[in-house]
Amino acid sequence: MWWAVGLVGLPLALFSWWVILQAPSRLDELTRVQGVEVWYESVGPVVFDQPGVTALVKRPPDWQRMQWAPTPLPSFIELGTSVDLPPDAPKMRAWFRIPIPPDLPGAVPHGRQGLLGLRVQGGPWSVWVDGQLIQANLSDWRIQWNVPLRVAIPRGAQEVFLAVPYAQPLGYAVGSLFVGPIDTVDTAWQERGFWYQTLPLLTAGVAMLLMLVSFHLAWVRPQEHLFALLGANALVWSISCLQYAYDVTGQDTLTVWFASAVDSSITWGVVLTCIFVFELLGVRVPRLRAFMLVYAVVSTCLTLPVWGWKVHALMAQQYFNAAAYVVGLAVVGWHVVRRPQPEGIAMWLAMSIQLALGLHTLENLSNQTNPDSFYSFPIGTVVLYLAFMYAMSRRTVAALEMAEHHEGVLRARLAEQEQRLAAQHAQLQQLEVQRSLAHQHDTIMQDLHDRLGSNLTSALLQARTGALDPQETVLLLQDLTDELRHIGKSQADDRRGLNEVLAELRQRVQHRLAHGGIQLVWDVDPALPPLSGKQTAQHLRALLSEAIANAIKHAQATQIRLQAHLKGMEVVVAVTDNGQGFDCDAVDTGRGLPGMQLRAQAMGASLSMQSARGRGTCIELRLPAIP
Amino acid sequence: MRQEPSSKPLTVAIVEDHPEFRAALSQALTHTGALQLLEVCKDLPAGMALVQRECPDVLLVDLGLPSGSGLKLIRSALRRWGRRCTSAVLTVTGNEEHLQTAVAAGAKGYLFKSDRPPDWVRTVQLLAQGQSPLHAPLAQNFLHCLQTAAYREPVDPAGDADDTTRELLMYIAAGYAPAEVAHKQNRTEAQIGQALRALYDRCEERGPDLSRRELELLQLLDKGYPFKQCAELMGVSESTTKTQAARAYEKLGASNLQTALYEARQAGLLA
Repeated sequence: MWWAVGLVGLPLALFSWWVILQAPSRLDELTRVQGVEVWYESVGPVVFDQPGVTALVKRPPDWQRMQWAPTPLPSFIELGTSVDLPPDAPKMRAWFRIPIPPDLPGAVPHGRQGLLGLRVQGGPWSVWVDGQLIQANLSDWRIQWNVPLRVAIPRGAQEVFLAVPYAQPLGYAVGSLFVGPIDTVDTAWQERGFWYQTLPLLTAGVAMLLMLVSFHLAWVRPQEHLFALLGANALVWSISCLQYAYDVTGQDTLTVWFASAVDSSITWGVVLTCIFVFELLGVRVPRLRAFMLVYAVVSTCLTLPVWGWKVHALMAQQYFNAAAYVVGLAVVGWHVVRRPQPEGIAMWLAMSIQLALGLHTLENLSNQTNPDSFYSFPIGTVVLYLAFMYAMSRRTVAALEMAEHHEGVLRARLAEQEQRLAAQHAQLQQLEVQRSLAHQHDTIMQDLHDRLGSNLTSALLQARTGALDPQETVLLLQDLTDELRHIGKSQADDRRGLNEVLAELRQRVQHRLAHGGIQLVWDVDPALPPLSGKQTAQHLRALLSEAIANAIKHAQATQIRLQAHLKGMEVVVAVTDNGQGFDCDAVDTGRGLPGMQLRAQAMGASLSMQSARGRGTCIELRLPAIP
Repeated sequence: MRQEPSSKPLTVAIVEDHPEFRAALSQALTHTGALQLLEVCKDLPAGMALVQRECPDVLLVDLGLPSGSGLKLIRSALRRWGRRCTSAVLTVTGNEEHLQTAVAAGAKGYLFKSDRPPDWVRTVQLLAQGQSPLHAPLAQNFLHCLQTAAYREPVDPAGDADDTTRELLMYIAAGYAPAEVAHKQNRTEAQIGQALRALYDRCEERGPDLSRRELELLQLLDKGYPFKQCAELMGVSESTTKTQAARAYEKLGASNLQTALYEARQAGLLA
């Protein structure tokens, strides 16, 4: 809020300092001209175009016909609200006889004297001394209405004549005149020039930069109307300020259009400022906005020079502008009262100040009633633009903060999600572990039942009947201990290699064989393919165990040979013993041969057996191999 | 230590919690007179103390001790005595996963509890002679270990030695006994045993290779001394100790003192 007050107050304070303190004290160093006399010269049918005016300015008057009447300064004829300027309007020249105080005899000489006029409005002025034209602002008089008059007085001159041509209904205004040393006059003249010329030009430059930036932003982000509105405002103000910089003297048509554009730029400035502030503060008044735009368009069109109405309605247009501005200000004020925000208050203050200063300029300068008055409208615009900047920067900061806030919220949400995901992941992992544990448990229980359970049961039954001798007991227990090695294998049976199953088989039977004094000849291809089928490993194990058990129990062999080789698309596993053999036709079923056949079938294998009395036994299994 | 014809009997230490088996094993090993039983411990702390104090030729360790894993003991022995002490695992099931972990920790063999006493003695003697046993399931694991190692460090570009070794492993995985493989490969049984020992060595995971000073510093830090005091005790500057500590952390794969001490304890570097 202090920023807002400072931005609005600082330019006003600077300007006030100059108006109230600096400018009067400078003028105190000069002498106010007293005893001025006026004479109005009728100049006949002169056309007020460039050649006509040039000729008029240089034309000396009839010095003998002058009839002087005392007049106070400022001297003016007020500009009416709506002035009709017919082509044959009477053209006049206002002559002022200005006495110059002479050097007093015996006193210190004044040195070179100068004449300072606060403001001359109307046509191009000319200054005459001793019947000679010494200075005129003919070249660019249209943009010089706001430039103070400054004339160097020839030494020894006792009186100076100032002429201002004007058309009868339009009038003129001549402000106070001061006489003093030429350097003081120069300083005062430059100081006024700074506030009335340089400052508005500087603001015009700033406005143009602002316009470029804003239009670029509007181009990049067309959805943000604020940028376009700000750019349009800056454009209008730039046009308005052209009157201080661009001299169109000598091009009469262009002059007329230029004047029209400058007058209308004020209208557009008022309308666009109101709409910009509505947009900025979020005041929803679509009808008022539309009405204001329509007003600006209509006003611009009506005052276009094409109509040739010759109606000089500058004042009327500016009063309408003031009325529109009052409406906009009231709407903004109402909004600010209901929803006080720093930028709202700043905007309202700045608008009020601009309106007040604009009315001040209108009432004193535009209507030509107070040519001594200070020109305050540019300061109002400076204040307004500072308020615009303040509001936009607050907007930007708010947008950035909003973005940061959103980012923070998003990040928090993301972290939350990640946490949730991690928790879910952990839960899933836990489930997976549980599942795998359960599966392992099942496998182990199955193994315990299949491997240990049956052996334990048979051992128990045999022990009960007293059929177990100590040696047999050791063997049985040895078997049971060995079985422990194979319980709870991590790999499932169907994924194990044939070699693995055979190696396990060897480990399992080696104690029994050693006990029986039987030599085992191991003749296995170490690169056998893996097994196919879920139950194959189990069947193969059982089948070969049975075969070896038969050899131990019944064959009275001293050697058992186990062969396993890949032959074509088959794995041939053979168990051969060198025992007594048996008659294949006469064999009973006690040796589990039917069971072995069934298992071979289940594996998709073929089983053949060859034996003869005294020539051992050979059991051969042909397993289809996985390529 | 490779089969020195020394008059001194082989020294053996046992760390085992099962009382009957402990007694049976002790009895079996001392029975022949060829082996000298240094000490029999029943839990981890006693075992750790033993390993710090004595260097048995063969250290027999049960992995599932009630007071902690025997792996720690194996690492500690390896760290303390290097190759002078051969560790082996006492196992009932011969579970290859457990054995593999023990091998990575530095075990050079195993001894089945269900084997007959003469087999125990023979296994211990072979272990002391730089040979190692291998059964089919573990051979399968070693094959896998060999394959991954081949990617990491191609030992022999020609691959002849590796081919023989792979063949050896495949035979054993297919159920052949080491003696049969020796016959098939035209080697002696002792050569096979030594080849297997070489395999054990290859599968051993090198622990962090801390220097003596770094280890000393870690031990002091473990006792809770600040760096300044460690520097005084070690007779170096404080910045030197910090540099040493940073190097030790890096070797242990740790980023701060706490994790470094944990890793060192895991690796058996600290008690």
